[in-house]
Amino acid sequence: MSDWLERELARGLAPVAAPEALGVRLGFERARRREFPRVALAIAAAVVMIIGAGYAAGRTAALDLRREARVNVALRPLDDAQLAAARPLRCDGGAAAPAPVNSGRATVLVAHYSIESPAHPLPAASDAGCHFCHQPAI
Amino acid sequence: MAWMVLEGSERELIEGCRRGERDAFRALFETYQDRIYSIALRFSGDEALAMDIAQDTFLKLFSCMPDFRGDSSFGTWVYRLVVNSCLDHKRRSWRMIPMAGEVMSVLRAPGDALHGLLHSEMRGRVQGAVEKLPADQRIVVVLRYTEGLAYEEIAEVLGCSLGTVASRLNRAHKALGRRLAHLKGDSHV
Repeated sequence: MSDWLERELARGLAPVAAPEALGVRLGFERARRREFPRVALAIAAAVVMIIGAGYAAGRTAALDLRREARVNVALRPLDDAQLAAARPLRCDGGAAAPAPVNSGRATVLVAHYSIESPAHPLPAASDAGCHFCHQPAI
Repeated sequence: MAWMVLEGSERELIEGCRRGERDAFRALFETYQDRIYSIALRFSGDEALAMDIAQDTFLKLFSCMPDFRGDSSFGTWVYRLVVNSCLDHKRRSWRMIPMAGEVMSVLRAPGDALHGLLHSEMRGRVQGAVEKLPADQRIVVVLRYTEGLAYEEIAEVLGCSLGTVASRLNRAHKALGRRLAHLKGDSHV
């Protein structure tokens, strides 16, 4: 065998250092955490918070209405109208009740809630003073 | 106890492993990790496969420690384990980018990139030629050139005669000489 081949084999097959990952696999080394840029992390967190806060502010009225819509509101009984149920109607603060009126069916807006001008806030309407504040559409 | 194991002889290290001492296992790992990984890498030619082979070898080493009777030297016993792991692993039929590891190591290394790339190319060709050898010849070549074992030591590791080792090496040299002959003029870089 030529010296050239001997030299090339020794060079080409030279021993190498084992990678750190081998120690990690066998539990002798801890895996290094990848360093994430803190500035980018802070910016991303701020963006998420701003978007989340904006979304939450937009949804406040609707969320409040849905919560309040579950309140059992006592309505003043009428001879020809019977309240069947109440449910949220719109996201901007309306609650409605389907009611049979003169053998027909009508959807009656029983409350309208607004953050800016709570004209008929449900929590305060324990006696349902605002019922039928809108004319039913038959 | 730990310092006794770390500074003690090979026998104390083995006894420490048998007692389940973590420091003994760690010392054993640090002693043999480069040797075992190098054999696995040079035999398989694939870093991921070499990691698997090395991991299997260490798991066998740790679990079979009570089986070591001392009939041969501990180093020879370790070599047998890694050789068996190499031969047990089926060689991958394909590789995504065969030279990617070598190229990346050159790009990461400081100094003359072109010079390094040429050397890397030559190493890649040698490695590729070795990979084409039959497994019985390949393992002899790896033990000879990666670990620098003598013929007698290779024979002891493989459990074969000295003549068999010499014969396998001779056939491997002839095959490698044919496959690498065209590179003879390119190696003076």
